[in-house]
Amino acid sequence: MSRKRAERRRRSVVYLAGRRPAARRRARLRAAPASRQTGRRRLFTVVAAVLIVGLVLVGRAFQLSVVDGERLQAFAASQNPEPAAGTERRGTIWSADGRPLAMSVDAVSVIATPYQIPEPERAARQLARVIGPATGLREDEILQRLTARDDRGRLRGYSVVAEDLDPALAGRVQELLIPGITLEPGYRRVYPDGDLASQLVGYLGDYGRAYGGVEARYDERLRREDVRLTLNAAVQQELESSLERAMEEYEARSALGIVMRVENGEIVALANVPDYDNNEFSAADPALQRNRVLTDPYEPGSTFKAFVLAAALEANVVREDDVFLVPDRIEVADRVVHDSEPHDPERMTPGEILQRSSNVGTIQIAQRLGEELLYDYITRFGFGSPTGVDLWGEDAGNVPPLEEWSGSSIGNIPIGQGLTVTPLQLAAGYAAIANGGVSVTPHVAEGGAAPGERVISEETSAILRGMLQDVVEAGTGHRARIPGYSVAGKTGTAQKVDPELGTYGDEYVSSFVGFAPASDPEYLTLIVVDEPQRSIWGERVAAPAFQRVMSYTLRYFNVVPDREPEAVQEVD
Amino acid sequence: MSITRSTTTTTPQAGVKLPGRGRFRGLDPVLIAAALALTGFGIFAVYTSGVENGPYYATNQAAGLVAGVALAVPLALMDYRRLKGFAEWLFGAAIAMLLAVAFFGTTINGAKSWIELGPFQVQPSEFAKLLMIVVLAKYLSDNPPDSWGTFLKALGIMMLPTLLVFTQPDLGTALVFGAVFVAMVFVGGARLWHLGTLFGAGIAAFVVALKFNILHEYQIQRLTAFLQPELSTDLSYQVLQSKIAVGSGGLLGKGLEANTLANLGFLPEDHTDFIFSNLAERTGFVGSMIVLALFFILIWRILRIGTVARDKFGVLVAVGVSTMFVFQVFVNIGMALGMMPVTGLPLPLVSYGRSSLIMSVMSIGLLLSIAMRSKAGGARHSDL
Repeated sequence: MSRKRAERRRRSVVYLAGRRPAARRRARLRAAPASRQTGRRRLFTVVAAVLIVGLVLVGRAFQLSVVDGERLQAFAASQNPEPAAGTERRGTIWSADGRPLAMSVDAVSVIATPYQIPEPERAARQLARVIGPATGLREDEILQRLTARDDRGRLRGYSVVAEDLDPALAGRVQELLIPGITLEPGYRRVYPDGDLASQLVGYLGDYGRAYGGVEARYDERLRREDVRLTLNAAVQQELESSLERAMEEYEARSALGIVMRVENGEIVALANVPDYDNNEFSAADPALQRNRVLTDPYEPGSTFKAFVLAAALEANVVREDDVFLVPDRIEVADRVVHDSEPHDPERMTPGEILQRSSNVGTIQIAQRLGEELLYDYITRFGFGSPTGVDLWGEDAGNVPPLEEWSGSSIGNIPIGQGLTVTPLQLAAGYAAIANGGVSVTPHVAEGGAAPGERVISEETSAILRGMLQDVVEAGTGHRARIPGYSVAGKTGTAQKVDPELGTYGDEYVSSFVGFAPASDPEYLTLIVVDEPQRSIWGERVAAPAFQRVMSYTLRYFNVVPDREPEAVQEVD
Repeated sequence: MSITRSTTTTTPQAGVKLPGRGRFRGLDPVLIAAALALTGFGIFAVYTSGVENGPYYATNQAAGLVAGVALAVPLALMDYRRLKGFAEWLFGAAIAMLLAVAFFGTTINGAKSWIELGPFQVQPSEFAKLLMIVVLAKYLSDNPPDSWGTFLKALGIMMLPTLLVFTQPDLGTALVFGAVFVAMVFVGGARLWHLGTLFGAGIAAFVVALKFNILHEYQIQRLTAFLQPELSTDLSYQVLQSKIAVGSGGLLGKGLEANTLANLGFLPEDHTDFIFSNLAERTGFVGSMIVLALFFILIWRILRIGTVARDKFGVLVAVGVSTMFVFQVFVNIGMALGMMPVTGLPLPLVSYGRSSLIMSVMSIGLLLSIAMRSKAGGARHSDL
């Protein structure tokens, strides 16, 4: 301290004394060694400052990377660290007959770096000439994208001009050689038949996110390879058009259907109408995007009666040639159940009960079976649990557990009321009857077959097939007859529960399920028409659609006819 | 003293001759290695950055290194004291370059800081930094700033280019000029109360600027964004992403192949201003520490040259260059770590930008010239 003061004093003396330049220079020369010393000391101050600065940076880096590292890692991961969408080619979804249902095609995006574009107006004019017609972009819209600015008014570094361009067109953009315009290669998912089996195929959205259907269920596999479905595009088209026709004809709300191979549960066609186009997924009504065949359970009504009969035959409480005296009404606990048409008490065999779809007769059979056995067989046919189909979002339906059955349950569950099943469960149940009594697991992708379990004996299966054949040939299902083939099936007309009142309302679900050839079943078809207006009866509303789809399917797959065509005409 | 010396000799003093090293006795291999390692890190980081054509930029940067070395070698071989004779010319060149930018410059990212020279875009303010260090060192070595007269004159010399840079507007580089000035006059022997008065005046000017809305809203935002990273402006977004990138790198980093916030486009400017965050994300805390350690070695060796320099001019050049490096490192890395405002200063030798790289390599060439002509023996005893 004292040295510094002394130095300063010495300098001020020099300044006071020295007015002449020579003197000043001399003074400085003398002062120089001292100021050198000052400089050196101060140099060490600078070094100390550098050290402190370094330590501060090290400490802060330590705090961020090590102390907060984990938290920030988690946050970084949440910022979608997956590669951006469409950077990798995704596998094609093929139909069994070789039609691509979903595929990735080359698509290129045109990207601008606005601050690098020297003449945006000229660039916009050039770009509009090349990509304008294909994209519908006007020159001023392009210019706007070329001169995009951030919130501080600076030109941006990234601006998307056009997406999903054809590669050839993108090549022409490159030939323009505009500085600041680059191409970003990628892929675009297209659905060549956008509304064909749209709910089943599903949709691939932005960021590579799959929504529903095969796209979602086989997402991982599609990232690696193609997926071939058991679905047949031709049969699918026939099913969709038949459903649309039934819907229009009977002014129904909606309709759905399945065509399944009896032997192994392969889904040959599966449709929900009205449908939507996957190429315009985001514009579609979300209700239409559901695959209602497996997501929406309903009360099956009369189509359920076949399972009661199967159970009773299998449990040996009823024989094929037993005779029941069937009145047109029956009291069950606090409830009276009627047949659909009044009739005098009649003698009926189990087969005739099924043929005429008698509620009273079915309940009589169920009473003989008892609640426990009935419940047991219902679950053995797969109702109340998912079928295990290879699609997400399957509903299990609702079968009330035995302990929740009331006294009147034996009066409504056998006739398909008071429980719900999905259309897919119903089809799978009938497939088990048709398949010699062995259950099948429905599936849409090739190679998805799982071995089934025996539900009923081969013998019972054969008896039931014959009864269901009689339904078509002499009973309620005559509209389902197909020239050249024996057809087995069952109609269903179920009253819908009014969701507001909780009681049965005025709306119905009409359905028909059946298989052919009845002697050695190969294909099964289920048609469900929701809220038909001009008729409610399954045999009128659903059976004709069944007949069209089934006869198309049999002919398409060259199934050998098992009878003379004339035989049918005679009956007619 | 320095004046007489500079005129007497241009050849290095023999001192203790080490066999086989001759005139390169003072050549500092540690300094060269640290600088090359940092440049290598930079080229690597540019290569892995999220910028669309990383390899292309990395090649450019490597070409910048070659050009920088080509300019630095003659600078190192030349006696740095010769520069003193050109000081006025160098000052004129710096001002002329900056004026040329003001009149014919190209605007990038809102700042008119570049000049198109054929296929190249040159950033004269980078070169002006080095020129002004030489000019100021020459002035201060002749005129110790221990009186108001010399102090203010030195301030005036520095103020002119600073204002030109400030109006580009390039606040960051203007602040570099300011920091270099303060450190050089401090070591040059300025009175502490002169410096104190300057600080006071600076703060007063800032307060007045705030009061009368001379600063733009965005300039204030820019200076305060790092304090409120949760605000959703562009700048605090950058700072936030940068902190997340650094932090998510953890101890060892995400590796060279991983998809990082940088190459997924979350981290902006990851090859220029935020290159440190990019490196830290890939190489983790360990990588950050290597980079910081290299800078530390670099600056230590530069300051060491300051302590052994033959004359005051050499000391002041070393102080000026090291201050420039320290200030930029602190502001740039501080910005990446969310503790300094976003000012858009490059990380010397590392950030993409050939003007900055060439200038940095040239300043190291100049320092080597000082080192090779340093006092014999002094180096051994006053090693820092």
